[in-house]
Amino acid sequence: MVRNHAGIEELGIPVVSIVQDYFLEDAKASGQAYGLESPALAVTPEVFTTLTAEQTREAAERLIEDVVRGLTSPRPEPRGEVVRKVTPHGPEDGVLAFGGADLLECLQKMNDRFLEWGWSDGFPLIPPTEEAVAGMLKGTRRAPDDTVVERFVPGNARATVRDIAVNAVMAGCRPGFLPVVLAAVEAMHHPEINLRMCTVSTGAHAPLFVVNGPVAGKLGVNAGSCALGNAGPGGLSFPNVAIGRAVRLALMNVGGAYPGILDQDTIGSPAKFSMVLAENERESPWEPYHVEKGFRAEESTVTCFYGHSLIEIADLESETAEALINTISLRVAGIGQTIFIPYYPVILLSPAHAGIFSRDGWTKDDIRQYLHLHCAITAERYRKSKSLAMGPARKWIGAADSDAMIRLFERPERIDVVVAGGASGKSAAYLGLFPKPYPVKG
Amino acid sequence: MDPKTAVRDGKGLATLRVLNPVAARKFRPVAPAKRHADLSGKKIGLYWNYKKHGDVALRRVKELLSGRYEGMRFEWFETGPVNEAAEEWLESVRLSGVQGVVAATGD
Repeated sequence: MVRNHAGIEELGIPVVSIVQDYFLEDAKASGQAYGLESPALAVTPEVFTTLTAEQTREAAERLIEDVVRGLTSPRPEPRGEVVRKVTPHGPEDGVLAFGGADLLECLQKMNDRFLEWGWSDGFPLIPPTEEAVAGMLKGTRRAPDDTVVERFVPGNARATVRDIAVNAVMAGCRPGFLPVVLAAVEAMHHPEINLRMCTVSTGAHAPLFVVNGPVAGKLGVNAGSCALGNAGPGGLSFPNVAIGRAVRLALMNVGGAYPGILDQDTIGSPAKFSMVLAENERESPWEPYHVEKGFRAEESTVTCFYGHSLIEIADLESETAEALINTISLRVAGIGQTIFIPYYPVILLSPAHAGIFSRDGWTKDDIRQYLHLHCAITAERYRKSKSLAMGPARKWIGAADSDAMIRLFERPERIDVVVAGGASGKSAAYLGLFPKPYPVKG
Repeated sequence: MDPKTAVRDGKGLATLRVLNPVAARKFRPVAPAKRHADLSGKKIGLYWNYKKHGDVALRRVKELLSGRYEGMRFEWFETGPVNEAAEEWLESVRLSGVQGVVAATGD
């Protein structure tokens, strides 16, 4: 909302935003991210979504003087160009030094301070020394000062290759992982993903990155068992974990998506630490995901799906495509969607489940069409659950016949299917969201 | 020691120097719009982003402002997070001729 506040002020129209005390730091940081140094705010201690309508009306009455002041009292005029870190916490020095009896104590102090300043994801960090960052930069042919994204959302700082490399070092990445991290950062900034909404949402959005093509095998990105889990013997899933962790640290330290400031997630999610896998192209009965999207098989891509948490769909019984798709569609439809945000699912199919579809002659398009047609609920049920029918859709759903079926996914082509995981079971997983394949740049 | 280097945490036999991982943003701040000395007769936009009870608060604000300022008119705006700051939405606000906006969300 503060983003639009800034946009309207730029039109020469004064704005005052009613903001809940809990979100005050978020509102100020959002204003600054869009160049509005001192937005006019009417601050209330109550969160309206938790009040009754009458309580909300009373809260509005207590705000009215601040609303009037916001439209009538002159605002401070900004000075010239501003250079500001994406967090007010911690020092601004380009190089930081930590002293101790030995390097182990120095490292402990660095980690303690980084935690205190909010620069850490909570696990111990590898120190981003100048030498380590220089080594990381050898993993890409791109120049250190190259722009990765002009405005890293939500804080809107320009992100250079070096900025991302520093955070990749802290995450424990090997230099060879850097091109994937850079591509992941670019992929999640695709406009269709709406990264700002995903990062500042009160919902638990987290990015899933799917790696396709030769780079996955070259780096050892796990496509099999436990691909989305923690690392295991032999370094299993280590690239998955480190790449995702680097993106999360970059989201915070370059993008400014710090928990409790711009990230206002109500409960949070462990998915935010790291969620990376390779498509199991070898065991997929279909062409790889990136080939389906127009890339050549020998190209490498990173795809970002920025969604809510994964939902497991275990089905050990179904032996036909028809039975299995029925299980999946019931589960997906049961989760429900708020149609004021057009979410689309990505279905991660284990090789065993993909094999059932393939044996019965089903293509990915058949799966998409089925889910498009059968993931639907009645207008009456929509109306009963107000959160499902927020936004403009509530008007036409309100006028629909009670037994009219409302489809959850308007466009079948936006439903994605990726084959992932090992041979240990018959599982599918579902995650809402917006996909966009993006080629890795090495 | 490099003049840009700051010893931030103690002194001892060993020193670990690391690069600051936090990016900085360079920008020219948006100049806030000129405020009104008097709101009488002004057309005010009420902007809601679909969050629960944000609309309830705005309707109460409308009632209170109407009772206080003569000739005040209102126009309702809605947009959700997907279309936030869409050019066409901002253009619709501009074309409406509103002279001030009160924005509210539910959280």
